[in-house]
Formats: sequence, structure tokens, C-alpha cells
Amino acid sequence: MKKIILYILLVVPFLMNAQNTPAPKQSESILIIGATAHLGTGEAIENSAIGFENGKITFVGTADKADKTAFATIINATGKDVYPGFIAPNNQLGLVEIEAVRATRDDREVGFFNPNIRSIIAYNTDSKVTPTIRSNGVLLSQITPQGGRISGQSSVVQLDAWNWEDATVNTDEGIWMSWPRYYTWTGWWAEPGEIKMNDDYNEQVQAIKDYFKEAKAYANAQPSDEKNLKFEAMKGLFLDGEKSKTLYVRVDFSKAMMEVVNFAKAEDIEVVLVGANDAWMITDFLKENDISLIISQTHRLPSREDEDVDMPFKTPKILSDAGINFALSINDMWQQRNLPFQAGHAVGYGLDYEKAVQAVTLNPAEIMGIEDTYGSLETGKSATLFISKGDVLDMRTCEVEQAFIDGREIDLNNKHKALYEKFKAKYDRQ
Amino acid sequence: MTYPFTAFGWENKPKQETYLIKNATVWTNEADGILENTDVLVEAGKIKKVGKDLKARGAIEIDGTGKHLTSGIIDEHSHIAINRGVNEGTQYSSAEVRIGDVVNSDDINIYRQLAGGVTTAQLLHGSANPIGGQAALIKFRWGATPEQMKFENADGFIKFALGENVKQSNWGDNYRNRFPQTRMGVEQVYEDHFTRAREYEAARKADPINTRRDLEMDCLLEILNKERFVTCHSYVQSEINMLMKVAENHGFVLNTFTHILEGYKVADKMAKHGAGGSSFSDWWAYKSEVLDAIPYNGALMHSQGVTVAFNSDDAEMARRLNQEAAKAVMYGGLSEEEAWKFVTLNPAKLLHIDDRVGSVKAGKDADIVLWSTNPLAVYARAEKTFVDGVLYYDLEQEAAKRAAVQTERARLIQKMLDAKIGGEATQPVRNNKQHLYHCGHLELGSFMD
Repeated sequence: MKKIILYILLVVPFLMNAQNTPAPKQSESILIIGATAHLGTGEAIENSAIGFENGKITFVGTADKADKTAFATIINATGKDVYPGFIAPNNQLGLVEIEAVRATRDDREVGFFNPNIRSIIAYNTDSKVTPTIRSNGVLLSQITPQGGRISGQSSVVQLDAWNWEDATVNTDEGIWMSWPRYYTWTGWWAEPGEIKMNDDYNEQVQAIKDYFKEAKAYANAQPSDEKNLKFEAMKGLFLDGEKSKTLYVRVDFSKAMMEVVNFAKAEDIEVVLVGANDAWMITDFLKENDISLIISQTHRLPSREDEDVDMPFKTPKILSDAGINFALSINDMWQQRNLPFQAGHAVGYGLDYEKAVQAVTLNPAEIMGIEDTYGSLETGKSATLFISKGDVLDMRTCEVEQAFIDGREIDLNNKHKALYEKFKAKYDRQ
Repeated sequence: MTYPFTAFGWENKPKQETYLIKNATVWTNEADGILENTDVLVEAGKIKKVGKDLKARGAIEIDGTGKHLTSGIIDEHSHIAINRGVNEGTQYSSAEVRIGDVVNSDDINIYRQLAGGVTTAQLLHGSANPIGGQAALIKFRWGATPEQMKFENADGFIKFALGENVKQSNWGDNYRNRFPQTRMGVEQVYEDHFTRAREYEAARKADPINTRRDLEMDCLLEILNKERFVTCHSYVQSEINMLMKVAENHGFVLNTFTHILEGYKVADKMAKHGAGGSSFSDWWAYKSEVLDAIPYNGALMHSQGVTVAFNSDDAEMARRLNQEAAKAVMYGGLSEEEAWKFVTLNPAKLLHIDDRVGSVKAGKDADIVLWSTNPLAVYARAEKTFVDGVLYYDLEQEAAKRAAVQTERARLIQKMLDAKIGGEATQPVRNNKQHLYHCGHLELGSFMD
């Protein structure tokens, strides 16, 4: 009987914590000593000290230079690694709970041009998926709608919040568009047909150009009595000088990618290409035009039957060598916990380790306009970071022990750990 | 002419040679464990010897210093290399159909997976039906014909499936009429078919001339008579338990539960019954029935004595099963040696081929892989992949092969341009893009622009 009570006492806290209460504000200053700090800038500091207070990083340097007396809590992280919180671009975390169940999907609205659709107000802070993502070091996410030609607006959130209001760190920062495809496929899933050219390609591209012309005219016109909500949403793309919104375009084919860039230049719009599977073919062009990319997951198949079998694995290195700014990503919302391994895999195919860390920290932060606050371990920035016992980019050694968002130590329990403990306890007492 | 007639085909098919891999870290998967500075001799398609300071005159020597030598990865659940469809979804029992009739040896994914250290895969029927079709087991002998790829004298397997896919839960509003639409109905499909199979057996015995031969029933009888083995797509604990009971009632053992994402909840019962578990490492949240799926599933089943494998069910992931195995270290703290068996020895056991493959042991087939570093590391690359002592993938040759692909591509483009200039008839762009099958999603994979 005593044993059973003991097991219940051990298990119940885990089950309760699977509710993941958001952490309270940082009350005491903290100094993490002795770890290898991967700054996110492309540099690392061995035997480092990272200090933070009131949610902000106050010290970044070597352990011997840190004033331990100035910090209330010292975390000894000798032999461990510290990273900035990883940032997951382009995903539907919190918008979709169960992929196959329609009632749980809020990622795809009906209709073709929906720039006014906003993901942030449909974002569910209490998704059961989110705690499983945080446990692998992903602490921020870009919540992104899909579907149609212009899908809607994305926002960036931190992953330890009570509601979408305190989750958001950059609201409505991007407008998402899927560029028309050169080729479409025929048939249906049981009888797949062949691929053929999209005969409507030119028409569809022209429709986009016309739409943007109208949106631009609306942005530049005197305010009228009749508001066009869709064009209102797009105003931020057309500001003179610094834009308040980025146009993210989903496009993979090399020729189409170049057309998107030329279109954006002509309209003076800040554009980021998403997917960009053929980027390796046009690195010079992308570099000349200073285009940033959110690239498809490393864990995908080559785009063509005769393409190098490791093309997706080595694309990050090719882009890095060409000096192109890119962020790594992964597709399904529950897969965001595998974002670190997209980086790890690229390292195995030549990408420099610290550049790989940068591709999941500072690079996405810059792309999403949150680099003043997040994305690297630098004094003045938010203390959004985590400690891993081993190399977090390798599943063999990944073990996130502690994580902080804005200096608040977050609860790393999740449903999976709780179920593990529950059944481990069952078998242990049998 | 290349073999196969596609990119990365061979102009001259590689042959069995004698190889001596020297001074590698060898993951034996046997009682010897992981051996450092060890040599492996391959001869006539078999592992001839494993030991230190081996010598073999006339052998091609490969320096394994700093590298790791393992047996080839075995994927228990694959849908590559199949022509024109994996689901005979018209009836809820299609035991008579055979994947072996539709194997496609030209699939580039075979080559891509060789580059990921995979040497054998079980090609499965999809999960549209409670009783699916007969599986095919192939070795990745790139360049061979479908018949030549089949694993000789292997036990026959058949695919069963439980849960949402067979209930057609996610097929849309037009699919609400085919029995079964609930898990309750699924059990009765098996009870009914096994009962009728025994009746058919009796009738055939009593009057073979007037009792019509039934290929579907023949297959079901093979299962009941323990001549064919079942691998069953399954998710929740209720249905897993159900099928084990059905099997026990009809006198056979359910060989493998595949996907088996709630296997951890009934691992003790699985071990008692004798069923194996071939799981995803960490997939979840894609359907209702996987809401309690946890990445610790493999480790928990393993702790209760279940033979656990990690599979792919996905052409992309199959290239990285070495990394998926590492997730058993990450989630559940398995030793590296035990985790590696999840993608080598354990699937071999589940497929009844562990007498021939699955470990680095003298006498077994030379299906081995030389890795650049610890195979469980995310940084690892397969450098050489052997099947039956034939070097089917060699990183050193890749550059030359890729150059050949580019040359051929350029030649074909030039030929087309010349033809066009010469006034020959043209047609709009067409492409029979290969289709990537899953049974977990019942959807097609990705296409390029």
C-alpha cells in the first residue's frame, strides 16, 4: 500500500505539470557558468558565463571575467552547452491540434486572396503539442496560415504564455503568398496522373501583379469612406523606407524564384523566399539581390529523380558558402521539436557548427524582425536560452535540462514525459 | 543502357568481390558487442571472418581507421519500389493480392536508401483494409530485376491494419458505408474470415473437386497454419489487445505490430503473447488515434522484453533510420548498442531473417555498411554499402556518378534541341513523377514544380 501511495505521489505531480503553468517573472538574477556558449552570431565561447537579470542578458563572456557575487543564483553548467532559444519559422503550431481532424484545424481559410486573415488570434497557447516542442530547445515560433494565393498574416510568439496576447512578440509581421506553379499534377490519390505544365501560369502571375498594383494604389491614396480590409492589411508592404511587413513567398522552382524576386524589386517590397528548394542553382542571383530564405527541411527528398541524393543535406552549406542569409525550418507542427536536427544534419554535410546554430537563432530572428530582442546571447537582449547536457543538434546527445524565456525558467514537462512516467511506474511495480 | 535504366544506374553491374575492411570499430550486434580496431573479411557474398589483424591475399583492402562498420539497416515497413498503388481499397479483405507482383526495381529511392545504409526492406500493402495484401521482402540489389531483388526463401508475410484508416475515418463524407466503420466491427472482420477459412479448409479436404479454389482463403489458411506471418498496422491499446486475443483464439501468434504507438501501454501483454513492435521513433498528433503516442514507446516496450524495431513508412525517413535509432538513446536512455539493434538485428528477427542478416558475424550475408563516424550520430554518413558482398553504394564513386548524370542530362537536352531545330514534332512538358506512398496518412507525397 505504501508503495502505491509513493508511486502516486511521484506520478501525480508529473501529470499535473503536464498542464504547464507559464512561469512567473524572473525574481532573482542568474549566472550560468562553465558551459560552451553558442552565441547564435556564428561564435562560441568555451568555459563561458551567461548572466541575466529581470529578463535581460547582462553578462556574456568567459567564466573568469564574471563577477559571481553579483548574481543570486549560480548554475554550474560545466561540460554542458548553452544556446539561444531556437526559433521555428513557418509552421502551424497552435493553429492545428490534430492534422486529420477538421475541427482542430485553423490554418487554412477558404478563398484566394486573404491578406487580412490573422493567425495570431487563432493561436492556441494551450496546445498539447507546444510543451513537447519546448523540451528540445525551440522557444519561439512563427505562426503561419496556409492555403489559397495569399494565405494571411503570420505572427511570432514565445512558447510560454497564458493567451495569445502575452504570447506575441511580433504581431502581423508577414503576409504569406504561394507563387503559382509552373507544373501541376492530374488525377487523384488512387489514380495519380501525370504532371503537366500549368497553362494558366502567366494569367495567375498577372492576377497577382494586378492585385498588388491595386493594393499599392490603395496604400498611396487618400483615405476614403469605403475601407478595403484586404488592402488595409497590405499597406505595411508599401511604406517608403523601412517596411512594417514582409512578404513571404512560397516558391521552389528556380525560374519562378527569380520571377518572384524581380517582381518584389519592381514593387519595392521586402520579400523572403520560403521553401526555395532550387536555391542552390541560383546562389549568385540571390546574393546580388540580397534575398533571405526560409529553406525547406533538410529532411526531405531531392526535388528531381536525377538530383544529387544528398542535395537537401548539403544545400545549407552551399547557401552559407555563397553568403546567403537563410533560416532552417521543418514542416509539420508536431515536428518542430526536430528543428535542431535539421541543423545537425546540415553540419554533417559541411555546414559550420556555429553557422548551423545561427540558422535556427539569429537568422530567423532577423528575418522576422525580432533580432533586437531575440536570436543571440548578447547583453541587452532577452534571456531566452537553454542549457543542454550534450550537443543539442545531435539526437544522440540532445538533452535539454533547463530553458528560460525572457528570464523565466519554464516547465519542461510535457504529456509525453508524463505518460512515460505513468507506464514506467506501472511496469516497475509489476 | 544502364541497370536500372534511370539516373545512377550502372553501365557495368558491380560484382561480388573479396573485401578486407581494416581497423574499423565494428558493431557486431552479437555478444562481442562493439569491437575497436577490428577487421572484417568479406568473401563470396558472406562475412568470412571478424577479428584482429586479418590477412587475405588478393582482397581489396579498405581502410576503416576512424570509421564504423555495421550490418546493413533493415526497414520493416516500407512502401517504396512499388508500382501503381499500395492499397487494394475496394474490399475490406484483399489477402489474395501480392506486393511481390508489383515490385519496381527502378525506384531511385532504392539508391537513395543505399546511400543511407539500408540494405533490406519489407514492402508492404497499405492500411486501407483490416486484411491487406501479401508483403514482399527485397534486398537493395540496385540494377537487378524485381525477381532478383527478392530475399530468397524468406517467410511470407501479410499486412493487416487496425484503426482509423480501415474505418475510413479520414476519407471524407463519401466513405461511410463500407463495413467496418468502428473498432468493434474490425474485430468481427477477423473472426468472420478466420472462421470461414477453417470451413473452407474442411470443405476442400472433404470435396476438393467441387469446392472452388479461393486464393484469399488460401492465404488466410497459411496464417492459421503458421506458414505466413502477420505484420499489423496498429495504434491504440484496445485494438492491439483485441488482435492478440483473436490470434490466440485461432491458434497463431501475431508476429509484428507495426506503428504500434500505444504499444507501451500493453508491452507486458505483447511480450507474453510473443508479438514484436515495429514503431515510429517519435511521430504523433497527425491523427486522433496517435494522441497518446510518445517517443519513449520503443524504450518502454523494449524494457518489457518486446523485440522492438524502428521503421520508416516513409521514403524520406528511411534514409535516416540510423538517426531514428539514436532517438531511442535520447528518449528512454537505451545504450547505443541496444538502440542500434532497433534498425538492424531486431527488424531481422521480426522478419525471420536473423539467421542470414542483422549482425556482423561470420557466416552471415555480407550486407554491411561502412560509416564515417558513430552511425547513431546525426553527422554520420554511409560511405560504403554492401549487399551480398557487392559494393552497391560507394561515396568515393559518387562524384563520378553525378558527373555522368549531368553529362547524360546535357546530352538528352541537346538531342531534344537538335530535334526541335530540325523540325521534329514537339509535345507539351509531361512527366510521370513517381508517387511516394504512406500508409499512415493515406495521402500522396510531394511533387516538384
